[in-house]
Amino acid sequence: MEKNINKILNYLHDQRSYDFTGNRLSMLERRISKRFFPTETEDFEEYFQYLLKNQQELDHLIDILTINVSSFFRDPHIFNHVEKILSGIITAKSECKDHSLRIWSAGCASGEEPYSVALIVAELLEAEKVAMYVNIFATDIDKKAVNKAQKGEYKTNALRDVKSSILNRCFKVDKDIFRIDEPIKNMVNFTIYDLLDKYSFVPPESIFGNFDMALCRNVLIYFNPDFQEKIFDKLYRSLNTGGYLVLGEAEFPSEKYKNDFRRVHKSYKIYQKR
Amino acid sequence: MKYEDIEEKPDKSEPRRNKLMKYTWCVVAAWTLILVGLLARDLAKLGQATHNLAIREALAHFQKDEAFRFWAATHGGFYVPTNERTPPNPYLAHIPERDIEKPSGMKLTLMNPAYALRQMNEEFASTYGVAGHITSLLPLRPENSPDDWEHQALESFETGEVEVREFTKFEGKSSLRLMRPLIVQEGCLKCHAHQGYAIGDVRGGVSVSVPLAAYITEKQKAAATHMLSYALIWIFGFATIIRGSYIIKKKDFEREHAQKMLQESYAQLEIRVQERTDDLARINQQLEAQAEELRGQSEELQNQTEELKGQNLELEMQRNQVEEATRLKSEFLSNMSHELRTPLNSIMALSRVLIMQAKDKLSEEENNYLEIVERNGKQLLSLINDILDLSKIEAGKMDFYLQTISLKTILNNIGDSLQPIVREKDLYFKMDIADDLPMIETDDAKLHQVLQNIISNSVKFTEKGGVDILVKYNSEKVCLTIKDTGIGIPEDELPHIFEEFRQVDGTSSRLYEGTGLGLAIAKKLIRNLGGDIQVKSKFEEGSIFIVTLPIKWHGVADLPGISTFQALRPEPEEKIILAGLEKVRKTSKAEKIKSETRILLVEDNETTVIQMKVVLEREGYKLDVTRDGRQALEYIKHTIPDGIILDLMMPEVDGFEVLEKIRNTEATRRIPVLILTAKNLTREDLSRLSANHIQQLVQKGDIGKEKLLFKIQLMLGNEPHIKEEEKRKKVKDKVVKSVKQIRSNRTTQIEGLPRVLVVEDNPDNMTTIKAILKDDYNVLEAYDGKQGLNIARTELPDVILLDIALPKMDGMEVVNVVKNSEELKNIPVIAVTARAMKADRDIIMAAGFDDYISKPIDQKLLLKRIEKWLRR
Repeated sequence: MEKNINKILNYLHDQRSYDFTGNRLSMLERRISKRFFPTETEDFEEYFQYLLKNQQELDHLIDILTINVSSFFRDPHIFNHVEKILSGIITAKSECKDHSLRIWSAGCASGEEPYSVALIVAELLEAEKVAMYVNIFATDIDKKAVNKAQKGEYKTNALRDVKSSILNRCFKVDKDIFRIDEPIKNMVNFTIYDLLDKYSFVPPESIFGNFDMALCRNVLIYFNPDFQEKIFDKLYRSLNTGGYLVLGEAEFPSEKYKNDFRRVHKSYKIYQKR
Repeated sequence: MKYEDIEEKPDKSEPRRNKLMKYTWCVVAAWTLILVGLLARDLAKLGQATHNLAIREALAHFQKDEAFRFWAATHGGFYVPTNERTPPNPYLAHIPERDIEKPSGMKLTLMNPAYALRQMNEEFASTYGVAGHITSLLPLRPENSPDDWEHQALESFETGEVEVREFTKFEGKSSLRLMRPLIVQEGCLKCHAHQGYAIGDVRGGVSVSVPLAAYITEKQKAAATHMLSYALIWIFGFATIIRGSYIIKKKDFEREHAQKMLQESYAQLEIRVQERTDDLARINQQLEAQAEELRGQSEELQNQTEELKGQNLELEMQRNQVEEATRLKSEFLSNMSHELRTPLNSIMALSRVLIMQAKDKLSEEENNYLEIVERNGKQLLSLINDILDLSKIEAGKMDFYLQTISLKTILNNIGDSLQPIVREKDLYFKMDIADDLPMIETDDAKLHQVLQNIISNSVKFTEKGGVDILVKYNSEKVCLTIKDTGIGIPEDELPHIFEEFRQVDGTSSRLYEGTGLGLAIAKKLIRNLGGDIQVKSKFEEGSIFIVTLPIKWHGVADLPGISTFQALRPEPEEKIILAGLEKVRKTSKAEKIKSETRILLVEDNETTVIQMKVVLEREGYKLDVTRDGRQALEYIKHTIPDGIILDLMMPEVDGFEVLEKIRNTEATRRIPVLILTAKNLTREDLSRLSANHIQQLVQKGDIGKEKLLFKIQLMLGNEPHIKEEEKRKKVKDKVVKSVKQIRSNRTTQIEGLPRVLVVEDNPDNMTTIKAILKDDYNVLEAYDGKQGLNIARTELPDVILLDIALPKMDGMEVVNVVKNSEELKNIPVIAVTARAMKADRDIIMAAGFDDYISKPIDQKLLLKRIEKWLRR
């Protein structure tokens, strides 16, 4: 079975340059097998044969492999803490006349997370009356998701954790579609980026890392430990000393980097680079 | 229904409404027709009735005439007085007795029926308007001859008609003319027989003309009434129809509206259902993804759990090993302490002997050395004793002898023994012991040891004030409170006070002798006695030790947490070293530059432009930007920048082309170029770039900010440079140094000898090192890190010997400052430390020390090392 899954993944890689080989096997198995019913196949071998004959199935396969959930301020508590941290960073930066704030949202899906951060930053800057160059780099491997994110249009169910004051101030409503305002949108830069890319350790769009914060939530869980290690290497290198790393609930710094991060909150996976 | 259907709906109702209008008009027309028909019929009937009436009237007149004529005929005529009005009828001349005389002489003449009738008609026609006329085709009297109409009628009687009537004009008026024949009867023959008439022949006829004016007036009145009625009825009907039509139309409209609403809501519903379905699909997808995520998380957690299980097992094993090791270590310590005491005893004994015997032969300094030997020997002995105790307790070899003893006695004894010190320090020493304090079951000697330790500590660490001892008890326990006004214990030290080898301040060992094991032993002993010790303290205000003891011994209290293992971990010093390393890392950052360097950035990506602007302008560079190759080429025609940062992938003229153009133009060929690109460069790309002589190549996303800036500096041909300011400082420092050198040579220093700064907090060690060095070097002394650093700055020694664990500023910090200071960094710094592991050595060397010597100090080695570093 593993052999067949690998065949499928290799084929996908050849055809579309999507590389899922680093993903956790059980996840791949579950997700690919969801395509059995619609394609009337029964096992991975059969599905692979089907895939060879039907090019358009590749799209479905990519869709099902890249699917991710997110909503604005998903887990609002963690964002409360992120806000506190960002507030600290902004204060410290404005004190030493550093007017650049750099954040990386790695695995941004359809943009809810980076926009949430952008909303927080905008609020903080307004509250503290500071001007800053804010660069939020949001990356995802899924082209569709990135395209959607760039539009900045959301339905109510993605916005249930957004405070109504923010909703009123930073969104334009058109029927049931909420469109995020330009100033917020301009804070976020969306690009397609593979966290396993060999040629760079941060998204090329950001030129250099030196991030004050990197968010990588519920991405690592889909990868096997070897690849987690590789991604962690990037996250570590991308951060400034003292920069913060926000992970998903079941994610930890890998063994190699365990001592390079200090956990700053006892219930959330927020770490500070030593 | 599909959404688009709704749009077509309104068109459909239009023709239907038109149709309704048509129907309405049709009904109106029909209604009108019916009414008009009815009216016509009525009017016709009215006419008919009028006619009938007229006919009846005519007939009545006719019948009256006929009756009269008949009456007259049956009488054979009648006689009337003859006068002008009624002359004798000439046409009856043939009749005998036409004229007779009444006996009175009154002449009478015979009036035949026709004559009578004619006269009546002639005289009364004008009176009643109805004209009767008796006539015949063969009238006896020519005046009775018929007119044209009568003539025709009379002729038609010949053919059998019994009645002729016609509405016609008569004498200029609308009239009904009616004529019936006169049939010859017997009476008629009297007069008309001579004309050849027989009974039954048509003799002539009587015509009656009834003027119709009255009827017509009546009829017109009735017709007008009728018409008015019909008009009203029509209007009513019309109104009803229009109203009905309107109602229908309205209803239709309402129905249609309702239908439309229905359709709309249906369509809305449809849309909503669709949206709902979409939403649900999306939510479902999200849920699936969430489920996936959760599964991923749970798998991850499971993995972690398994890992933890493995780790637990490992830990368990390690714990066992550690326990075993601890036991072995305690045993080892116990044995070793015994073994140590033997040689130590001889050292102490012999140094005592020396002190006694050679006192006068030796110099004061040499006597001092001997005292140090003895003092250290004593300290070592007590340390060994303590270790022996501790290891005995830990190895479970401590024996306890239970007795019933008086706590009061013990306390009094201790108090007595401490009296001299108390008096010397001018302290108060108060004991408040409950009078009825019961005897307690415990180990007399051990309890004495513990209390002696605690109380003498209190006295020892108190310089002002004194010690209060309070003893209370209840049915189970005795509670001793020992309160002093001594130096107290800092908050952060408090939790560790009962751990081995802890004394509040490393420096205090100089002031207050002791091994630092006393409290650890006390705690362990008191726990073995079933009690406990607790401590409260405020730094520089005093401490309170609370000792509780059971009145009856029940067994050993639990020993949570504290073990010798923990105390022997190399943690504290390692922490110091790591902290030092971090400081080294932090302070050795690249220095910033500020210059008016103009850089051209050729880049079409706005994000990159902004970021580069922020970074470079903060560094003080002047940055010009062109958004594509063409603009860049335009730019360099009039401005030559100090360097170019060039993107490769750009619209129209790409980076390669720009680079080639720059290199092929005389004016620009020497501008340094840094390539900043996100392109995955191929072999050809690289060869093309190197052929055009680029200074730096940076892959976007594969560089940190510091490195990027460094590369830009390199590109610009700047070595990472030292600030002007710093250069000036260097010169100044040199001057200061020479001045200092001259000044430092003033003291007891021997001119010309190299100067060694020794930073060491233990005075005995200091003495030892000084003793070793004094012949060959000038020794500068410092007792803590800060002092050492100050002396180093002012005296600029040739070598520094530096202890690691120092008060105020530890050795790691000191070396960090030294090595980061321009004036001091060239002075060799040699670590002197008791730590002897290889790993320690690496850490120490990494911190910036030039060399390393372990304690105990080997004289030869120390001299050799110092020499080595001085020679360099």
